Amino acid sequence: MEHIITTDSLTKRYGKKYVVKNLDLFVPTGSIYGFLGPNGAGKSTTMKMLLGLAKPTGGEIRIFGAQLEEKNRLKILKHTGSLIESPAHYGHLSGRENLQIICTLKGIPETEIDSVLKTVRMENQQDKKVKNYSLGMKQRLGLAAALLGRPRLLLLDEPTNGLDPAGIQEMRELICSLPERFGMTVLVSSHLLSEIDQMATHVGIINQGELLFQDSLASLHQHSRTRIRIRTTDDGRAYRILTRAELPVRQNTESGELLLDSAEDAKVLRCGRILSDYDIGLLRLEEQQMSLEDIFLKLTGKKVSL
Amino acid sequence: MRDIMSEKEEKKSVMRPAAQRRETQGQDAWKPAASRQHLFLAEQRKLRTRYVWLVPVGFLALLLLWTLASVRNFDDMDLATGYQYFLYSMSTMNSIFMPVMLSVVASHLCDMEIKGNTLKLLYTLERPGRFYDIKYLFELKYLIIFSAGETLGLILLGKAAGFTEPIRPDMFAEHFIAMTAVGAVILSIQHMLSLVSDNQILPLIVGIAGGFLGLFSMFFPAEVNRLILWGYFGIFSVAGVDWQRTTDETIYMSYQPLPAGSFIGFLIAGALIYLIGKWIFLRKEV
Repeated sequence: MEHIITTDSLTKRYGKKYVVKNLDLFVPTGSIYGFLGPNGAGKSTTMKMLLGLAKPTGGEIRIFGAQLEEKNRLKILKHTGSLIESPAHYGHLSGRENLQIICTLKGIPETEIDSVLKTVRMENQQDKKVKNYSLGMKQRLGLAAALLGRPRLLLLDEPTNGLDPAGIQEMRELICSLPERFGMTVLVSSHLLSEIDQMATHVGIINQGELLFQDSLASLHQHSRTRIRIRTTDDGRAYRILTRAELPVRQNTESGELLLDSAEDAKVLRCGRILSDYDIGLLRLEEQQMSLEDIFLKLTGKKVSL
Repeated sequence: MRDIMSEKEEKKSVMRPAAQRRETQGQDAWKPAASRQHLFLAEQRKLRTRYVWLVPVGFLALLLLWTLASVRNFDDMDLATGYQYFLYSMSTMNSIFMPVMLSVVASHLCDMEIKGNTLKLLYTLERPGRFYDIKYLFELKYLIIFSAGETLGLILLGKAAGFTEPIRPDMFAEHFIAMTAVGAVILSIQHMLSLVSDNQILPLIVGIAGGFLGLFSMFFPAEVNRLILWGYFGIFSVAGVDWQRTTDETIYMSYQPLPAGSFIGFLIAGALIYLIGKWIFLRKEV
């Protein structure tokens, strides 16, 4: 199976407002799929629909190759672990007792508890009541619960939310290790581009309910095209001349500097010669790479959180 | 994006029915997430260290002590109609105390799900409707403990107080059935409110207000009384006072068997109330 999750025109509408609109997701098997988007973009709603927690207004979902419907939802989800928004817990019980309940509900032996506690490094806090846990510990317990039963697919909605930098790092390492250690596919959402950049193999960017980009992370990086920044003794005249020469050049309206949207040697060389022919002094010639933040900004029109 | 779109179209065209069938057959071999037995066991495990049983036992102790206090001044004539008095006064006290007790029990069992934000996880493991039913059955267990304890307690208290009136097992059985049935319908409302409310204050207020309304409704005209759910503890009381004959000196009491027609009608309405509550709960997205 090439894709563990596919959605076809998945839509969720509340009244007249589209929260998710015609979403076509393709999550490759064995990948860490980063589902990226600003707050309120529709990430959580999409994940809830994938789990059958929210009913789609339109479209269809296929998980493990089967169409997700109410009648087969639990059968499919038996092979899925999830952590949606804040971690679920019973505060009056210990971490271990919480996991025992999940084991009972999943119908799996409790012998798995030790293994998942070890994976999330919570062996020493397992007997403490969860109401006394920090948020980071609760998140790790939530992940441990999701890992019970060794699911083939893991859906994690903003799993690093509210964690301190050390906790974020730890959670990130943990998620990155899952496909290799357990052969899981992970769909992880975040509004932090840097986080997805460090974890994911594939990425989907959503904004205002619509999917703007979807491909491998490497492909997203390829979008970060190199361009050449040019400063001359007369930027205005240089811009007119270069445009006339049909070179892909733009002028920044604020700084006046020129941007050559190509780093091809031939074009850079031609650019230099033309300026020289017209006796325009070249002050600076800089190679500039478009950062992921720039791409995100270009795609979503929103500044990204870092 | 464009590449992936074309890949999708290609995939659709390449997907053969036979391959689809194989995949579906594979899915059918999977067992559902949790059996009913597992769900009951999980519910039981959630109650560890909660001591919910203290709530019905505490209320029961309070009611029985109250009843015991009233026996102290009984004369021979009162002792001869003691059980009728017990059943009558207990129905009245149930109307005020039982809704409060039920709201506390429902709140205790449901609040852990709301506070712990567990519904999103539970719904991936069990059907929301089944979760609703099983939680209700667990709450019902405490109601049955309460009603059975009350019925048994009244018999034992009567024995201890030296009542000369013979015990009518049929009347005590009807009392148990009637109080449990009315309690079960009220519990279904408390159950729904506790599961849909982020704050348990609202269900508790409804429980207390319902108790008072039920008590006062006994003084309302019969037609109005019938419209108030909490008033049915009084309506289905198996013992009543004959106010025509009662004087300042003597209270004339009599047994009044459950009106079968009204009781069946009440049960049907109760089942409808439960289903409406469940429908409201299931409509709420987590």
